[in-house]
Parts: sequence; structure tokens; C-alpha cells
Amino acid sequence: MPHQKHANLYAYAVKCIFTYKARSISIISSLVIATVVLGTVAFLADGLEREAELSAAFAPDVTVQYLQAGRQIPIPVTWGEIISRMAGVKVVPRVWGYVYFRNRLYTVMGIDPSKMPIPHEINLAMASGRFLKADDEKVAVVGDVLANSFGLRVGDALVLYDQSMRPFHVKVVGIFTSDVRLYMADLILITIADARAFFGMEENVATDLCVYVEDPAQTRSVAELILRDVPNARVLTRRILREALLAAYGARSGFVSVIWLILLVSVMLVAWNQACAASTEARREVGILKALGFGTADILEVRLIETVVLGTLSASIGIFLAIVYTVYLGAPILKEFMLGWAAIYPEFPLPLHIKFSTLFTLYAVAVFPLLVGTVIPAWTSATTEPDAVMRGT
Amino acid sequence: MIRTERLTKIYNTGEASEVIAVRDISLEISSGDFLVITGTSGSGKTTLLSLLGLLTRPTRGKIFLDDQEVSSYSDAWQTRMRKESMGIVFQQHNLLSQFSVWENVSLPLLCRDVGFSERKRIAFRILRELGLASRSDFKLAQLSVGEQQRVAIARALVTNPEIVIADEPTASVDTETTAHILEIFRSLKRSNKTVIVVSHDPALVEEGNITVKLRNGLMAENHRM
Repeated sequence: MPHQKHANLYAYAVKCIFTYKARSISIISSLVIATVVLGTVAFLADGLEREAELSAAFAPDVTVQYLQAGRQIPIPVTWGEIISRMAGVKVVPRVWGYVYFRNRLYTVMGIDPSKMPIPHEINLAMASGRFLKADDEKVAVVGDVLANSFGLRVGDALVLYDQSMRPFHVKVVGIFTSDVRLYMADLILITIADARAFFGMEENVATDLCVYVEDPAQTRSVAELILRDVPNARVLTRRILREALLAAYGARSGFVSVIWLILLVSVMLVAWNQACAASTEARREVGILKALGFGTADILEVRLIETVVLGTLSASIGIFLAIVYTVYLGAPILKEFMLGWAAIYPEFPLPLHIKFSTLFTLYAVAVFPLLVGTVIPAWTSATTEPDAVMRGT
Repeated sequence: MIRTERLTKIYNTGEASEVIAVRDISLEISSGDFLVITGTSGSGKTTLLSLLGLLTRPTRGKIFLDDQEVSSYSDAWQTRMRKESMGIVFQQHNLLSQFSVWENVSLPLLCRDVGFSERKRIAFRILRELGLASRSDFKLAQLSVGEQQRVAIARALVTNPEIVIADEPTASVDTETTAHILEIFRSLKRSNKTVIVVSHDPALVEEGNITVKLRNGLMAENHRM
């Protein structure tokens, strides 16, 4: 068989992995630890980034808030009428605020379903039930985390307490899916009329104005015009909102980068250490193989296979454990670093997202430093005279 | 078949520890010859063997194989030559302790297109011929020094090479094993293999049709019978 030699070399490389147990276990355990930490952090960072993207996708084109002394206060609804005069622009007021319940903070948001453009994707965001309708009264659509916390299902009643601790009864008509958890996990979505009643807000004001622009290319111009025409306005385009969210997670990415750097250096050190520790024995073995007729390419092939198998196996175990650590154990310790800001929110399940590029990077981190640490010394030995290698000179 | 011209090997050239291991050795070994190299310790026997086995390059001088000057050939060419034509028995056995007896014996077949079962069959056959069939699956640590020496010889013979090179094959073994090893070398001689062996064993020296004695790296005697 013409390829039998390669099959033999592969078998020999795998045999070496099992034969040099101490070396293999040491390399695998180091790489697994590195990949678990890296994988967990990378998957969480990817998950947070993805949720930020999704959250921004559900935001209006432009959000207008009113500031007084630098703080947000209710915005007059009449200002929406001024903005609506711009061509191709639609303005919908929105009322929202927070409610503390059982030491957790939830967002109560009131919208006008008859006026607010509802994206087609909203159906994809519904885990069960339906979205709000124009004629709804005292009904709510809630986030899945909140629903799970209180054991709520579609049709159940939810009792909220306003600032005066008066009960406010709503009926759950829909539950959002966990795919948009970051934005909607703690959300209680009701009609704007109900929200005004709950927060005691007058008809002529709203918390902010949602601006929808017909031509997305004009969004920036519209935002600039609003800034010019509406004094003391804070104008947030979807792009700015998205960048703000990504920047927030980007700060954690800095932490991620540090982790990557530390672990990358650690993996390289482990690989190098292994290569040096095993060098005397490995050099002798290379010398013997060369004396027996193994070419330099054969020896490099053996070492390459050995390294790729060890690295791939370690990375696969590490990635599997990272998923278990995150999904089933809730990533203790690392969670505090990644989601510390969400401490007052309801119990926040970790958003896990696995990107192909991240997987590739994890495998690369496990394999390449090891390649450098093992193949280079093997190449050095393999290109030296067998006599000198066996003599140890 | 093998010819050397003024073969010289100097270790640590230009350093205080410079050693002239062999100097100006000129030899002619024909196919089927049995060359025995003798000499005191440090006389350059092993170095000469390494040079003839293409395991190291001469500092000066030339090695010819079938009239081709091979000492300056590439590492890849010399490796291929060892793979195709030579079987080498080292003084220190140089077996891989983590592998079993038959795996050690079959090592030279790994870099050839020989499948697992064929490798095993060839290795077991040669081990049977050398009286080690019952030790095939043993680890090296379970073998005596004499048995390990026979494993090393089996490994050298597993590819049925034209040239067999052996460094002190009967050193550190008991009388019974020596007799066994002698019989192996006699059998090689009968099958017209070219044998180059370093030995002080008078019985093995007797088998040689060429005897070379080295002294301080120089060829002190060269007898052809």
C-alpha cells in the first residue's frame, strides 16, 4: 500500500502519546485548563456581544430623551409633534421605569402598539403567547427570566405594586424567548396607557420618544436635526446604542484579552518546558530512528501528528468542559467578572454563544505553541548526525 | 563494494578538547566480506564503524559505496542508504525501553510501506529465529542483557540488509548468549552478507576474512585471508 508508511507513522505517534504517559498527561492537563478558562471567557464574551447586537436591533432608529440639569426627566409629547414634521419620520412616545420586587429590579415599559412599528422579528422573539395589541388593557408580555422566576405562564396574573404600594393587576399574554435575554430578561411590557397609570405619569409627557425613520440612510441627519431643534435633548441613534452596548462588553473584552495573553504565554511555557524536559530522551529517540532509516520528514511527521492529536484532544476536552462549566455550573468566579454589572437584576443566566472563529482560535492556541515547542527541537535533532545525537553531543 | 580513502574523523575541531578519533584509514570491503575491527579502548573502533554506517561524516577522506563517493552526499541520501542497505547493532543496544520486544524489532519497518500485520509477522519470524519467540511481547526491562543484545541484532536484521554493522555484539553477555550470537553471525556469513563488526571476542575475530587492528586512531594491522 503506497500510503502505509504514513499510517505506520501515525500509529507510532499515537503509541508515543500513550507510552510517554507523564509527558502526555502533563501537556493535556495544562492545555485543558487553559482552554477551559479561555473557552468560557470567549464564549461568554461572544454571547454578550451577540445579545448586545440583538438588543440594539430591537431599539428604535432614534431615541430622544429630555435632560434637565444633566438628568433625564419626562419629555413633553408635543415635542414629538415637532419632530414628526420632518419628512419620513414617525414619533411614538414611550413610558418606562423600574420596579423593585423581592429585592430585584425589573423594567416596566409601556408602548403604544397601535402606533409603534413592530418589527417582523418580534414573532421570533416570542417563546409563547402573543405580542401586545392596540386594544389591550391590563395585559403584559414578560421576559423569560422573570416568567421563570415567578413560575408565570401565559394566562397567569401578575401583581405589581406602584410607588404608593397599590396593587396593579395585569394578565400575562406572552413570554419573550431567551434569545433576547439581555434586553428583555427583566422586562414587563404593557400598554402605554397602563404604564402611565402605573407610574402616575400625565398624558402630555413620556419617558422618551421613539423616532422611526423611513429611509435608514437619513437617520443621522434626522438625529442632527432633532439635536438642533429640540433643546436639552439627548439623542441616541441605534448605532450609538449598539456601540455603547458593545463598548460596555468591550471593556470586558479587555479583561478577556489579558486572560488570553496570560494563558497563551502559559501554554507556550508549558510546551517549551515539555520539549526541554523530554529533550534528552526525545533526542536519543530521534537519533535511533534516524540510524534505523527514518528520514527527517518522517520524524517531523511523527512529532507533528503527536502534537496535533494532543492539542486537538486537549482543546476538545477543554471546550466541552467550558460549556459544562458555563451552562451547567453557571461559571462560578468568572461570572462575577463578566456580569458583575447585572448583580441587581434577576438571576441572569449566562448568555453563551459559540462562534466558529472562537473555536478555531481555541484549537490554534492549543496546537500552535505546542508545535513550536516540540517540532522545532525535533527538527534540530533530526537534522543532526545520528551519531552526534546518540552520543548526546 | 565499500572503500575508504584516508578516512579521518576529528571531534571538537579547533578546541582544546580536540580528539583525532581515526586517521587516514584506507580500506576495501567487498560484498560478502566479514570485517572484524579490533583495538584497545579509545582506539577509534566505534568511530570507524559510525563512519562506515554513514552515521557521521568524515572530517577528511572519502567513503565509496559501489564506486560512488557517498561521504559528501546529502543527509537524506545517507538516511535512505541506511534504510535500504544497512542494519546496525549498537554497543549500547539503543533500544526504546517503552516499547515491547517485537515493537522494537519492527521499528525499521515503520518508515516503509509495510502494514501492521506484516510487520508483526516479520518481527515474530526473526525473533523466533533468534530464539526470542517467547519474549516477543515482553518489555525490555523484563529481559536479560544478553536477550536485549539479541533483540538489537534482530532489529538490525529485520529488513534483511546487505550490510550488517555491529559494535561489540558479544560484550557483556554470558557464554551461552555469546555462542548464540556467534551462530547468528556465522549464518550471516554463510548467506554472503557483508558484515563489519567491532569485537575483542577471539571466536568472532576468527570468523572474519579481514581483520583490522586500530591503535590511537591509526590502522596498525590489516589482514585479509
